[in-house]
Amino acid sequence: MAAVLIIDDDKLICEWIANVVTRLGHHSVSTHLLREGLKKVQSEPFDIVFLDVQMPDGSGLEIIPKLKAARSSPEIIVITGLGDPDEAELAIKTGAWDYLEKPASFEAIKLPMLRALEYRAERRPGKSSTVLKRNGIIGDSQKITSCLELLAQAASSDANVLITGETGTGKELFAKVVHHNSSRAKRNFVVVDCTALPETLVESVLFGHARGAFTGAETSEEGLIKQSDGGTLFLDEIGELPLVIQKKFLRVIQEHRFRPVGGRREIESDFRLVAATNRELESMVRQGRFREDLLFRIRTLAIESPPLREIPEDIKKLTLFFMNDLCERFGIVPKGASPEFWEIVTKYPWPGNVRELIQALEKALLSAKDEPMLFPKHLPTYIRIQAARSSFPQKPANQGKPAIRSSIPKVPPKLKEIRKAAVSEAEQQYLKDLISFVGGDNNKACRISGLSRSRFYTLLKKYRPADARWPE
Amino acid sequence: MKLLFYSNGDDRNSTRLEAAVHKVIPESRIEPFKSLADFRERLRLLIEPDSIAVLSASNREELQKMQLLRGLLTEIFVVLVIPDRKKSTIGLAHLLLPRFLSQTKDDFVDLSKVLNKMYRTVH
Repeated sequence: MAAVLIIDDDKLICEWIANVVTRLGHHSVSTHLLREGLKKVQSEPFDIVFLDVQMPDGSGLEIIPKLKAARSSPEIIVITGLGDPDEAELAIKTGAWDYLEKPASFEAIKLPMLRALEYRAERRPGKSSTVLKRNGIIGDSQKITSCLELLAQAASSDANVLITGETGTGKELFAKVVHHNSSRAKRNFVVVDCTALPETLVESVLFGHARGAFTGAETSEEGLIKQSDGGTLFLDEIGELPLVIQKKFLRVIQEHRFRPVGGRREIESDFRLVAATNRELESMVRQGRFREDLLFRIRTLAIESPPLREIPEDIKKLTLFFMNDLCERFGIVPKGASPEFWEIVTKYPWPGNVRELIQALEKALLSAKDEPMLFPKHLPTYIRIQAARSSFPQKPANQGKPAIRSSIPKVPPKLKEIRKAAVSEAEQQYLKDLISFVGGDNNKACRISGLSRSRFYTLLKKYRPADARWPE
Repeated sequence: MKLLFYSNGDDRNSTRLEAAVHKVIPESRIEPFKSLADFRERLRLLIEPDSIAVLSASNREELQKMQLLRGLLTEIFVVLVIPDRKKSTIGLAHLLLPRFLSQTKDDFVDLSKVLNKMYRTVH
């Protein structure tokens, strides 16, 4: 049983939080003045303190360091006024675990409290040092557990980290976990999206530029590398970095010094590098499209974010997490799910990974509207079709489809059916050839085919599972 | 793909930003917002995959208010226009994990190039 202290001058709020704490099986004490609360924490051990900001005898934010300095070093959950971003920002900066906006619901109180208790339980002596604030990483499968251990290892060092994995597996989430659990957590986490930056801009965006360095450079400007000084520089999709920049960047990683575009002198930046990619960087090295020395440098610690199909035991937990999250976002009452719904969700291969799962759940929840329970009919059609198809034994390709060039049957099928079958076959063949050509690089596939990413994935979902000969 | 565009200013900078966005993204894909409350409500609805949010903060207070949207912006690419390049402002800006940072007084040529690349990548 955990001990919880509630410091709030509003007795109703104290009662409400105490009620939540009791329902969760823990013990709580309330005080209505800061000085009383501080005295309590200094004389008794507490695991969690719910702390109001606006108190009659001062600002709650000012006593956070004193509360944390107590022997029990409780986790502080700050209760802020509705929509007050200043307080929220300051609360986190001063070391609070989380903040709540008034009035807080049962779930809003419960979640950060349970997470904080989990964190404290893991931190107790005797537990392994691989304890992390998960920041949204869900799952207990062996693969996720191994990833968490590596993330903890990464967070406790300054080593360069390379996170690999298919699109939609949460590589950025992994990077944020490294940052938030590291000694750099209070400094900037700077994202460099190598896919979004045009080649002509990458250099000045990364390195910054001096005044007059090029047409339009009316003032000098700090680049993202300098902005990550003391913090973490996250290079997303590093495989897209142009070769010429790769060379310059290699030196920056080695020396942490660089010269802004048009600058006269070098500047320093003490950043920690985390890079991510869905590309096979080794194969890019063989093709001369990625520098081998850079790959060695960025891969001091390598972490692979697993695709959903490899962690089937976590799918239910992930689904529940996102269902609750989305219900809160859409402002709808949390829904249950039928056994048939779970049957499909847990068996579907999710080629678009967590991102696809979230999109499917969004559609399911909105399609269910006021219904309290999710059924298979609420899921996107392509997923239900896939589930229906996989419930039958695999048949040889083309069986059952209208023949395109076979001998003419006595009663020809409708032209619409022939056309549909022909288009379907052509699309399937094209996609197979395309994937084979690009070696699984989906970004390249989109570029070559001229397909949008969403259209590409739709086609992938449509055709991939039915064909056993599909190139991997 | 949709581009959710928040800017509540009506000065020359805002007009230039609007023009820069419209230069590269088709009108039919742009959803403009003048109030953060409306923008927040929009984020609570279904959003197409690969959508982009262009957020322009005319002052630090507005940038602080944008922090409350963080939890709703997780599946959207954020392009952020900030009022100045002070260290504290940049620190606050990075909490929104922007794909690109620009400043209100910029000419937005680079911002247009980035939006164009993002748009072309998904189409």
